[in-house]
Amino acid sequence: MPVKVISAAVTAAFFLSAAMVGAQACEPTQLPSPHNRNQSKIDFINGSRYAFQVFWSDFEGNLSPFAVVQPGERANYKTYAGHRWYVEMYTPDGEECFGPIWTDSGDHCVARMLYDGGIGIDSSACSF
Amino acid sequence: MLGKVVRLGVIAAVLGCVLLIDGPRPAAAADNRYVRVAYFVPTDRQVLPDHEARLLRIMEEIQRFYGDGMKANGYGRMAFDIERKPNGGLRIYQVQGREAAVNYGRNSSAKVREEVKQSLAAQGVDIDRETIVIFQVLLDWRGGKAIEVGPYVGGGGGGRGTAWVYDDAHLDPRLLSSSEPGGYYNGPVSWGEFNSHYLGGCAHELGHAFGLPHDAETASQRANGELSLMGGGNHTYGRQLRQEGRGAVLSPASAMALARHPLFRQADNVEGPANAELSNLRFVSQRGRLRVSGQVVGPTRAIGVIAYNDNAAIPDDYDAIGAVSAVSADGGFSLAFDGLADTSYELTLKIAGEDGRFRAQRMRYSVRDGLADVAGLDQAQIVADADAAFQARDRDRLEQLANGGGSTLAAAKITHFRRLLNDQAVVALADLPASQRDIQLSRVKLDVARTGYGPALRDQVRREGNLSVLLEVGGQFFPSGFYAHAPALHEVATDGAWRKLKTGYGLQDGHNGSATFVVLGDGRELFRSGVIKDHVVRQVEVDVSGVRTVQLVTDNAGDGASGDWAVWLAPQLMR
Repeated sequence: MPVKVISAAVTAAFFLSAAMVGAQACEPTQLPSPHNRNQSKIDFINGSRYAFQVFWSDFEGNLSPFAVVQPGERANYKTYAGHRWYVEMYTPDGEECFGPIWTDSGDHCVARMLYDGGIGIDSSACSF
Repeated sequence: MLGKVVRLGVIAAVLGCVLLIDGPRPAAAADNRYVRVAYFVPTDRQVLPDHEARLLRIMEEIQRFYGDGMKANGYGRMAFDIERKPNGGLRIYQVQGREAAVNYGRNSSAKVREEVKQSLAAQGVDIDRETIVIFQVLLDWRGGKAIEVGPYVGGGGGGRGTAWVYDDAHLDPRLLSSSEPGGYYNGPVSWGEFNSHYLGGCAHELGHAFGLPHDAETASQRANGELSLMGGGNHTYGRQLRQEGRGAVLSPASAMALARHPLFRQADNVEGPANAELSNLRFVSQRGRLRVSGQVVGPTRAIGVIAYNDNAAIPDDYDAIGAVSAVSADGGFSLAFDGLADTSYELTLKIAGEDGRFRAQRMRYSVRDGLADVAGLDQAQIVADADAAFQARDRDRLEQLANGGGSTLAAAKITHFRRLLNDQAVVALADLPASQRDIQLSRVKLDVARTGYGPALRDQVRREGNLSVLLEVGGQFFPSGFYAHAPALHEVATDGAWRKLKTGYGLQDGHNGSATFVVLGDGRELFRSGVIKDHVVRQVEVDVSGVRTVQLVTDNAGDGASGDWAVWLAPQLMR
């Protein structure tokens, strides 16, 4: 997996090539979110030129759709530490799935999603 | 406070097309690359206090809003310029109205603009080639209530446009943060709220002057408490300054449309549609979501595709949700919407050309159990291809499409296009044999046929922009009928030989005006509809026994003729 580091420590960007595992729609069943009372926030910023759908993986691992985020938009959600989120981006070459994305510590996770021939993330306080 | 003159943009675009195909024109001088400001004062009104400094602050505030919005959408801080005096102040063209305020109503946009046009022409300015904001002293205060007297609308595109807004002594961005009472908007409000409505309104109407249609906030914006300026955001403009929630935002769809606007990129005005088309459209629907992908083909390079998804069951288009996609090097694009409800939608796909021109395509579809009728959208694409072939008078392509399969409805529409190209014969009623018991009126020679906008047409409507010419109301297609944009008259001599007139009537899809439908027999009113503002097909049967002349009349229902695309549907005479 090619890795492009945007800045040190808390911010990194990953770009997956279209031929890799990410270059397809998100499977409807994923890793379930754990039960956790440590409340936090997660923001998805669409820094790409294509829309994406945000999904939350429920406690059985079923993906639950949240908003479609247009290029330039930001979507904010309450979350809990360890809860799994997925992004399915809609590009002219098809769907690309990225995830899971979560916050370990309960810090406010800001995930800026990018696309440059493959989906990527430039994040702050997020794990992925 | 927002009217239907937004349709001017479409009309201007059509006029642009006509000019283009009329023949080559001499190269025009470079256009002015700023927004002009006019100040319109009726004879019985005065210039309002401090107007020069206030209007400068207003225009700079709106300029800041657009600049911030473009930056937030990833285009950098690009915005329009405003015309200034050498000392940096706002250049304001003072226009003395010819009449008292009472003579300028909500539908007086054309009247006000004509007076402004003549006044500025005397100063060497042709507002037909400009984007202009007309501040009007046409907001009255009576008993502590603000009464909207004059027009408050906007329309335009391609670098030419007009916004009609009000000035008021309290219209001032400095008051956006004020919680002090004294303002009025549908009830007492603070001066801050007053400015949110009316200053936000200036920004909204200027958006129409830039050619922006309405588009409401997306689901994620709504979740953030943000409203789109071109949706309802003109009413929440600047409210963050009062800690009353998030203010208005510029939507991704508006930002993409403005990114290539002549005034935002300091370029000359543009005319006509983009020389590009949508191809290989593919629709996928899942769980309240619709994805549209395809390709942009043609000589014009596209920077993106903008889509507006409008719930057709809700009148007007304030609720249309915008979506955008970039266009890849090979022309590919991909869009997605969510939040689909079980109803019918009108989807507009608009190619944004790099040169600032657009080309749009519209189609209807319905949603059931959260799934869009993708097959219907595919059929809509076939019909759009047939429409393009009809426009190009390409009989071979129509033949090919007719033989290519498709739904019964698509086939009926293709057949109709072929008939429109090949068969426009009409008969005189007097020549019909007595044995013929009924006749479609659109196949009959009429004594009078005229409309309020363009030529009278049978079995089709006038072409406007990229809308279809097919007679359609509420998604229903009618192969027979009359285009009757108000005020219209269709008259035929029946000479007492017919017993009954049966007809449908309604407002053509894609237009949001209002009209009244009337049937007269020998000048006597036999039927009058109520004011029709929706897109529902209605039917009427009228006894015309003994009547010698039947007249079908439409009028503008008293609010001006803008958008009044009335149609008579399958009118039929029966013995």
